[in-house]
Amino acid sequence: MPNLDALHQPYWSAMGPMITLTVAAFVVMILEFVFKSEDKRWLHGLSMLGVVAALVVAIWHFYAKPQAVLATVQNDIIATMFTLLILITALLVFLFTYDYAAQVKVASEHTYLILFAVVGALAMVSSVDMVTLYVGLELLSVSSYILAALRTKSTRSVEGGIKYLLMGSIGSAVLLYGLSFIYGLSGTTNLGELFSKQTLTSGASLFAQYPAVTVLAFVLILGGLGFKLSLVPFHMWTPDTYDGAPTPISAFLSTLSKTAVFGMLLRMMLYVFSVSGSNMFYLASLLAVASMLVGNLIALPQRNMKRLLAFSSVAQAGYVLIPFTMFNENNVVDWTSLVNSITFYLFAYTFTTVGAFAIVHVVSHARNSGDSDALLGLYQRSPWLAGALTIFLLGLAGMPLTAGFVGKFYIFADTIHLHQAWLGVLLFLTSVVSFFYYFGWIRKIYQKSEAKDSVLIRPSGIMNTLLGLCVLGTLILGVVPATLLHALAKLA
Amino acid sequence: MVAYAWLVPLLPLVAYIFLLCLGRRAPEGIVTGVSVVLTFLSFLVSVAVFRAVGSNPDQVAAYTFHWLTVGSRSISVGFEVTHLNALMLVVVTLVSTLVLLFSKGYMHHDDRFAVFYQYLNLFVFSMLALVISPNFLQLYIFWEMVGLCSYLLVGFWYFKPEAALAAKKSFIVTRIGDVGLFAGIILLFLASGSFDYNTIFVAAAAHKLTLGWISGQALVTLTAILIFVGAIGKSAQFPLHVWLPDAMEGPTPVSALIHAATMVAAGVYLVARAYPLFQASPAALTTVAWIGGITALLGALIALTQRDIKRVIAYSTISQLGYMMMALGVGAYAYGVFHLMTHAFFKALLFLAAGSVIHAVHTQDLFEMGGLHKKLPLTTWTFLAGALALAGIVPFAGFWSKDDIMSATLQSGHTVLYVFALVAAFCTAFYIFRVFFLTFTGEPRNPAKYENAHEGGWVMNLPLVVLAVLATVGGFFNTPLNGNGLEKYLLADGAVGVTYSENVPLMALSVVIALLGILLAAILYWRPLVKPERLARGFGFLYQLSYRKFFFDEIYGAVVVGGGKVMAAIVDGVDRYIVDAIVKLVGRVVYYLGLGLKYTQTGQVQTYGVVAGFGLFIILAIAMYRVGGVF
Repeated sequence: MPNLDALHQPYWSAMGPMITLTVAAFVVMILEFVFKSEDKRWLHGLSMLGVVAALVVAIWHFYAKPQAVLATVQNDIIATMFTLLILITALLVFLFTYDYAAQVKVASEHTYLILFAVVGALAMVSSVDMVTLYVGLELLSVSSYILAALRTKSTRSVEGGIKYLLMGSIGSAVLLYGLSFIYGLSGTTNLGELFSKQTLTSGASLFAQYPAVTVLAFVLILGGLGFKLSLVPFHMWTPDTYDGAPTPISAFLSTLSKTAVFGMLLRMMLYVFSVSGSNMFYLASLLAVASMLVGNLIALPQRNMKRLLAFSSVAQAGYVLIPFTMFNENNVVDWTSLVNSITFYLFAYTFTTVGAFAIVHVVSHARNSGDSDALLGLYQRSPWLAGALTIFLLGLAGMPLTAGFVGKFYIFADTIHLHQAWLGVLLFLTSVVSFFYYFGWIRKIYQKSEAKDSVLIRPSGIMNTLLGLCVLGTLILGVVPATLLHALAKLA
Repeated sequence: MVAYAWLVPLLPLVAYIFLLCLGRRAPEGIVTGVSVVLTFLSFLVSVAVFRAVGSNPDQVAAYTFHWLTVGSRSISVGFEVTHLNALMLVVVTLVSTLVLLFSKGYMHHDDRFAVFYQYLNLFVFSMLALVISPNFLQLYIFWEMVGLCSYLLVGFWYFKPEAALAAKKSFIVTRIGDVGLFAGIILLFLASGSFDYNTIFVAAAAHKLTLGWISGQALVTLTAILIFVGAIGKSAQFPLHVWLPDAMEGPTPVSALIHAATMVAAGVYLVARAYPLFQASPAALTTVAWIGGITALLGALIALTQRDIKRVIAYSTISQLGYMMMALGVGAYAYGVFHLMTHAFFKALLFLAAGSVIHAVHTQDLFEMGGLHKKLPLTTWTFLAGALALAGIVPFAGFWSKDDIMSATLQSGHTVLYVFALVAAFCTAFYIFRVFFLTFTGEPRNPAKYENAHEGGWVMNLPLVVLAVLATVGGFFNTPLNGNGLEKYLLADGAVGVTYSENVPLMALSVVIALLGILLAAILYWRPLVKPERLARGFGFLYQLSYRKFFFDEIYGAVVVGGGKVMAAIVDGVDRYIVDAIVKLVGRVVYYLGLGLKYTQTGQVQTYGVVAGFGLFIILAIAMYRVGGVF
């Protein structure tokens, strides 16, 4: 009997969450198929259990020694932090769908579709091989296309799903095109190998040998992922899809899916392009600037709540992209700080965005309207919802004592420190524009409603749990940002 | 025990949150019960901390944890326990407990009874958190919070226009001082890279506080004086003393707690806590001494002629705070803090007793009272204890502390300030016994009000008795009889201040001066040999000067407020027709840009593809052009 312990250990510390979730997904899929009962909300419970198990595994191995399995999956700082965030987000999303499924009839297949999508997302943040990365991305994307069109009776949902499918496929194609150039130039799909090859001798980098093709590949990869991140000008599907999709799925698409893609982008940039000897990341700042400007401006006249959040997420993706533009060979000492800024912002963004989408769902369901006027007098209907939404909006706007402020502050500090102050200034100015629409909502919340139907809104216990978690996350990270930074510092 | 000192501010915060949850319709009994019990627990913890620190001085320490990093500088938060703040914790929690109990009687049947207690608890929390802060940043936050609570409580009866105005005035005037404090803190942070007291003081002692544009010594003096400006505002020192008398529009328990015993003493505490910084700059210390001396005299002079019982005591507070500042200024650190403690006891007592009188007769005008000792015997006797303590008669609390200050002042060589203090002591004895005789002796001047007067029940009497005992014996914490125990306790914090020896002839002199003051009050108001009106006419202009409070309000009204209005008109014009117009223009342009962009969102997926493809093409073109390898 061979001793399998030595083999077993690294597999489990690097792939544990993925394995756990895959098993959970198959179990849920089979059970969903076997049981024909009407109410299948217990599947959510089971899925949540799977996510919690994966979360336990992830936390158990949180400070495990970074190592690669089969040269493909590894558990370094990026993988560990992003895995944690993705699993937390998945938990929030399942709480959300559980509440949602009680009110709106949706096909119960979405439980395991989300689980598979999460497995894909985990692969994207922990893999160091282009093939695995791409497979992870497609697993996430294909599941997402179906999830977006889940409300098959609603033409808007189906339309949003189709649009997402079309644009997403173009994105995948562009990305694959870029990846194939890299493979063609280097002869390997393994990022670790690619990295060591490039740094072997000076002048061995891809860029030094094939400058034009390398830059071409970079733009294609950036653009391909830009579709998924809904960066301007690849963003136009976003409002239609978010608006049509079931609200928990909108929350899923704008947080979990983006986190995974940002993780993959970070991986590609650090392993493939950062050692190129020439900075090409300024190209990303074009997308960042365009996203911040267009996202915030176009959000101003929006009346539909979900569409507004969609545009706001376009702008937020622009903010997160700023640190990406500043990696280069001369500031390796600052890379940790940049990765920290990205991770922190994504954490902050996740709590505020999921919370905001959740309240938008509660309010629009109770008042049967997706228009932002449905918020009028929310304070009278439910002080708790009003207070929570205020916190989320302040967080999204970046007001002090919320996580959003600290996140923006760190990005801003990076731009000053690394002499890209103009990006920081733009971040600040476009944030000011965003105050108009976020505070427009806050004003409506506390305005007296003229409507006669001023009934109280009572969210379910599950929904209150979800909101409570999001409020806690937003406030804790805003008041004591050290908690998360401490974890990051220990990993680095 | 010391490591649990954070419980002290936490308990009142719990009370506050609890009351907040109960809402404003909560029954009075529960509201008072919760507040008093939790604050009393907090008092017990404070006493334990006080004793623990006394028995083991090694436990003096700051307990902090890392909060956030700004650039390369790390900011921490937490709490600290020193001998100084251990004493402050005991004083604040004790007076707070008594005032919270007293308020049950005083605020009985007020519509917003629960709200009043919410504010009071929030104040007690903020004040304790201020005292326990280990750095200037935290101190500043709670410094502003006590200011906010003071604002809310002064304006508690907001439907009275005077109260609303007074609240605004107290807030704005203290804000002027806060600006100085804030500037001082920022300068210290820039120079030392830290907000922590200890880091800053160590750097100051080692002459390591430096900024490019100013010499080290000048920087220490500048920052010390800026911090003192904050203290001037909060502790109502000349020339920012004008807000405190107006703040008497608030309910009397508030005056006792906030505007006599605790918040106004925060300025004194600040100077005491930042004492190493002041010690590094003789110029700053001299400033503190002179401002204190002038305030002590000025307050006492104005108090001579006021007709409103609370205003007399308010000016007395200003004057006594001046004594404390003067003590700190001449290096008598321990005496200043000692006087802070005794003053907290006897001044809270005087205010609460005055509150008991006002509660009984529903007027604050001294000339509508009289003969009340028959109706309010307990109030009379307790007030007398407080008055004797304030006047500085042996062996009451105020005697020990005030005498220490006066002899220290003379020994430090500030003869002029000593004369100021002596004159102020005479006036003090006179004005407080003028109040006593007018209120409690003689014939009732307003029989209708006199008839309905009665004591306020045990909730009001118990605090009076406790405070009267403390005002009587509180001075024995620091006498030659116990080897100057408190002084030794306080000086264990390190080499702060100078110690002075007792001087029996000086003590005798000040007691005689005080007795003369009482005598003058007696022959004018108790057994009138001379009609007070004649005396007032005799002094003519001087009487008017005191009665009109040296015309400070009028001067400020004309210069500051008038000037402010002109400035405001100019700024308003600029704002309305230039800044506003620009902002509106920008807003419009941005909005229409957004509206325009909205129309690009056609809903046609073909458009989406074209835009995306075209965008990708542009970026590619830029990239290829910059690389230069293709074209």
